[in-house]
Amino acid sequence: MVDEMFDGESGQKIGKQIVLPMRKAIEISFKSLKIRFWRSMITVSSIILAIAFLSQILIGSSIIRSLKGGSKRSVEARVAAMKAMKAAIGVDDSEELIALNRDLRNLDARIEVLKEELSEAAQTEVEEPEGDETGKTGSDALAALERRVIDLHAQIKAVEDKIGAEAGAELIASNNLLIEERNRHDVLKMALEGGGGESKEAVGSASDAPQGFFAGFEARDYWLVSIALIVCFVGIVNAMLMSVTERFREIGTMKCLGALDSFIVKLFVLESMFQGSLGTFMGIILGVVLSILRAWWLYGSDNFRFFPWSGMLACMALSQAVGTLLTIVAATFPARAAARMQPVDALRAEQ
Amino acid sequence: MKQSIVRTRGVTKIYKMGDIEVHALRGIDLEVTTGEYVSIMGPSGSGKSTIFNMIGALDKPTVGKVYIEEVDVAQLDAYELAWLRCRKIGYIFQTFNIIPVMTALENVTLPMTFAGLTTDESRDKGAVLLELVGLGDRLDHKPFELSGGQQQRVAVARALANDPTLILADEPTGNLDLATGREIIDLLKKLNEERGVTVISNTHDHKMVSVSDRIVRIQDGQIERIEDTSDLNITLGSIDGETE
Repeated sequence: MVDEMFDGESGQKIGKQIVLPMRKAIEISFKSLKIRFWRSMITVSSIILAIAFLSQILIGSSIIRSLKGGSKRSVEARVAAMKAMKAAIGVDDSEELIALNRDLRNLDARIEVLKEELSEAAQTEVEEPEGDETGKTGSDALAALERRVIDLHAQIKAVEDKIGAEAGAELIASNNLLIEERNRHDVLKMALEGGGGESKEAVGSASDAPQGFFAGFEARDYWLVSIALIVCFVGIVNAMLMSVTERFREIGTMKCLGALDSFIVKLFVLESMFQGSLGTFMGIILGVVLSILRAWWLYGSDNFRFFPWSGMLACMALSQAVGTLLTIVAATFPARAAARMQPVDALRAEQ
Repeated sequence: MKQSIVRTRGVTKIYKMGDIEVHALRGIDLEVTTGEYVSIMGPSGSGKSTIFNMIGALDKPTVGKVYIEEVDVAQLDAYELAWLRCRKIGYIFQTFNIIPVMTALENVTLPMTFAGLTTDESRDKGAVLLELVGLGDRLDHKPFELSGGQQQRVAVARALANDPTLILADEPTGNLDLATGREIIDLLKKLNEERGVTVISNTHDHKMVSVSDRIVRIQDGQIERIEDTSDLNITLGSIDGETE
């Protein structure tokens, strides 16, 4: 190997055979990380924090969107089920039954209100005997309402006789469930918006299932994610800048030993790739744990039936890509700047 | 027949410190032939280190030319410069500049890796070189486990990694005590005599005088005078870049 360089007679031959095989580069950069383990861990920990923040924001908003979408979907599923039921029973009859049921519920509500009013009136009556008439009209009205309840029950019975008692009861139960779920969706939506959102989305409009990643992203989500990205960027760039600049002298030495600029960049890219992927991975785990805890704390375990598993995976993948890429880019630029210096400047830089 | 290994023509270096121009070198004409042991001496700030950087192709002169083996360094591209630094020149620094995260052996084998030797080849050769500088039993020591003198020995072994024809030493004994400095000087002299390696060394260590063939006195960025310490020139020109 050495002999062919010197080419026999001319010792002046200037060749270009300077190499750094990939395997050797990986070995060198890995060792270099291993040896300054704690220093690397400090760099890695700032990557962890930055990525934990980013992935927590991403996954957090994914959870919110999915909770909203999930409760909306369950309302829609209920509506669809009702439709099928209606078709089986006969649309007119079921509509009638539902209308009757609704009337019945309304009546029940009004009776409740009236009863309360009456009991209040009964108390005032003791003090003012002249108020007798109010009480009378009140109990008359109550009696009328109760008569109508009986009436409605009879009508419902009639319809149920026509379509079968079981099917009728089922339809009514299903309808009652639908009403409950709608209420829950409204409550959830208000809770989410109360949590800082400014969604003007009407019930049952837009907010789709989180298939496309940014689908259903709102202004607030974009804002949070951009902030998270900036924090991430600054944190990682700072960490990598530090870890490169403190090694300028090493870079200068390597250049004196015949390293090409590209070797130095290669070594630093590899090192930062190890650091970046490890730090990002750990950061994502931290972010996932945090965001699950937060969702559980804010919205209760009940909402975990809408948990966005696929959305979360997408968030994790995105965070991994962002973290690793940012780390590599953040290390490459200072390393390249250092590699391009005259060796003598790199050697002097640290002092 | 002596062959010129280093030749400088009117090398001038001007550093700009804000608006002030500092003339570190004011036209250096110097020629060193193969197999010579040349010491460059002068007070601090005289431009010794700047000459070292110019000859070693670590920095570019503002004006003038540096030829290494009759090749104009300014004409070389990045690959050729790297090749030159890797194969032709071995550097020794005052501050040792051992790569702190590598063992003694890894430091010595790194230039061999760049030169394309396999791991086994470079390991064997690195062990031989460390043996040569008296560190045969410390191959796997980290720099912080070695004394200053031992670190400088590692640096000498590393400088020899690819059998260079020229060793450049910038105050190699500057950070060492007297005895250790003496050992390093002796080691350089031994390499110079036994291997025919040209040594150019910056120093203000007077122990260097006795081993040098010539002493170049620098003052204010100019050559004040060149002294021949011996008329007895060892003829090694015919070896011509030969390796072990």
